[in-house]
Amino acid sequence: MAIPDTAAVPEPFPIFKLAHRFLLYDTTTITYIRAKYNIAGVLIGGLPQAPQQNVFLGVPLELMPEEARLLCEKGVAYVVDDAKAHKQGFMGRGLGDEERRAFQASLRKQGLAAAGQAEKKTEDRKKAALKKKVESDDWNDIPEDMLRPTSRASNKRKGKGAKSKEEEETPVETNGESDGKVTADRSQQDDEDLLFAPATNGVPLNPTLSRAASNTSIAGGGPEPFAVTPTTSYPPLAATPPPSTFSSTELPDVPPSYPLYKHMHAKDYFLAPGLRFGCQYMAYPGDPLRFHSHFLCNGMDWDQEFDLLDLVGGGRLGTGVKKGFLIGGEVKGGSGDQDVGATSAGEGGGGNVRTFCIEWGGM
Amino acid sequence: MSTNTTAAKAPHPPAADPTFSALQAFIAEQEHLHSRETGKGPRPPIEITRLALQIAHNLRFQHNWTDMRVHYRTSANTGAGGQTVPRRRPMISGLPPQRVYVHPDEQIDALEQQRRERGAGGGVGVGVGVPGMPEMGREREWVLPTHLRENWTLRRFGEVFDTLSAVPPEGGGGALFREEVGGRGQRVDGEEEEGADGDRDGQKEDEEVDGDSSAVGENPWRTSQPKRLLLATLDDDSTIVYYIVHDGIVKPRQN
Repeated sequence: MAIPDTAAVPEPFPIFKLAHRFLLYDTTTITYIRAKYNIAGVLIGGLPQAPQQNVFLGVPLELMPEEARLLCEKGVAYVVDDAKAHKQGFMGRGLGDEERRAFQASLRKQGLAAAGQAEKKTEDRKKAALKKKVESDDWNDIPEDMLRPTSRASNKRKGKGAKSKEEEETPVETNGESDGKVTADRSQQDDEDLLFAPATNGVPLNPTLSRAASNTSIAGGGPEPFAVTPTTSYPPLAATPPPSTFSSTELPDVPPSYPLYKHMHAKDYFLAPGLRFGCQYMAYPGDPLRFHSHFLCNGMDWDQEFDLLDLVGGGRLGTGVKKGFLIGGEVKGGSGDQDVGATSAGEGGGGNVRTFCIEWGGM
Repeated sequence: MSTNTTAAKAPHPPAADPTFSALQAFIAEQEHLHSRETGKGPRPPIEITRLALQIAHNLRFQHNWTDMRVHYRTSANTGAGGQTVPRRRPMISGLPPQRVYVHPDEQIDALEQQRRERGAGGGVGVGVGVPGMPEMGREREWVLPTHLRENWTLRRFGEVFDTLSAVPPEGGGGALFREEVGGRGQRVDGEEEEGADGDRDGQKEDEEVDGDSSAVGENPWRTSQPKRLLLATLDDDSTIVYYIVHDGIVKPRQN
């Protein structure tokens, strides 16, 4: 499948391991692995205000251990122990003093900007409310534009309506114009205030200045900076990929059904957790947003005994939801004449895995 | 199994016992016939043979299958070394009254062809203009007899599939019921009684193995797909359920 224009993510990228979960926080990475590696994962980020609305979950994305392992084995990702990294980075002086100071300064700057914006907003609201009260007590429904009492202002209004567009296009010129008129023409000043800045009534601010102020920080005796809780800790921290050779101890632990996962994944199936259908994986022939799943998959050891009732139940459920029930496992040698089947079925990645599909016979 | 030898000693099939049910009589008779064969290698346990016979009986009389055959040995072209080997578990093959499994792509193909033919015939030809699924030709199926209390492993499924040809060989194994081969049995009711007379010497062909499994109208869809069998699972209350098992990844049907 052609990869849509998703930004390429530098590989290997980090997978953050937290409380035995494998998480991704970056939407770019999430779309990237979905498009390139057929891994959809599960979004688990809930809304703090409505945690029961689990239809609208967002980042972080949780990966199954199998998915994390597969990405690690491909060498395109590595696992970062998030708790350890934070302890080391923030408490264990893993960050240098300068880094720490710079980070705190940037936090303070962000806090100031946020405070400035909040103040501006309240100021604006107050102003608008007052204006409404003074000028149009019982004309609440009618837009302000129609309620200007003075004929002079309404004349201006007509003119302004015509040229408002060019004002927007050439703000500098307009600003200069208004600077000149500030003392002479109060109503014009009011217009400019509405357009731009939270100018206090007594001291008209230069609009250019105040607009700039809202972007950075209010100059001179500005508001208290808000306390900002950063949503990510990976500007200050930096995840470093491990040396290129993986030892198997660094790979995530996976359940024994991993060979089946790998086999199906190698055949371009998207695999999702199968709890909803009482199986280990659901296999989609393409992106789960476009396709219904084809199989309910259960992986097992080659010699693991299972009850035929499991087969009957799985086959029945699968057929009931128009899917096949698929069992499979890694072929292990042992008793005699295994070679025939092993060569016929186990090709195409994922070791030597053989699968069986079960459907209801309809009789 | 030791019970096997006692059955072999019996001069006549015990099916003559009038208290036997039809199924009992059938099983007893088949066991008798089977035990008369010259013993080649180990036989499957007696209960497994009985299981297979009971399921064959169910297919024949509950589901109107015809040309039921029991395969105690592997076919020559699938066994190791090109010779027939005794199966650990007998397999059944038979001809269902209508197609048991249609691959979804084959179904699409058939519908497409039907649409094309209808367009060409102007909608008035014989057999065209009929909505719905076109008639699919019947196909012989493998049946694997199992009991619900058994435990299975992937390895055993793999071994079973390894001994199967894609299509059950015509005339392979031993025929179980007296009927016109390939046709519908006419004597559904009197079948067991006639068989119980023990005059069926020519009926059970001696494990003649047909190396060439290609039937007349070989369906390319079947041979190009992974092998399939019908898993028949018997419960203690003699309920039998049938599931289709494929040896590989085969996309599900859109029922």
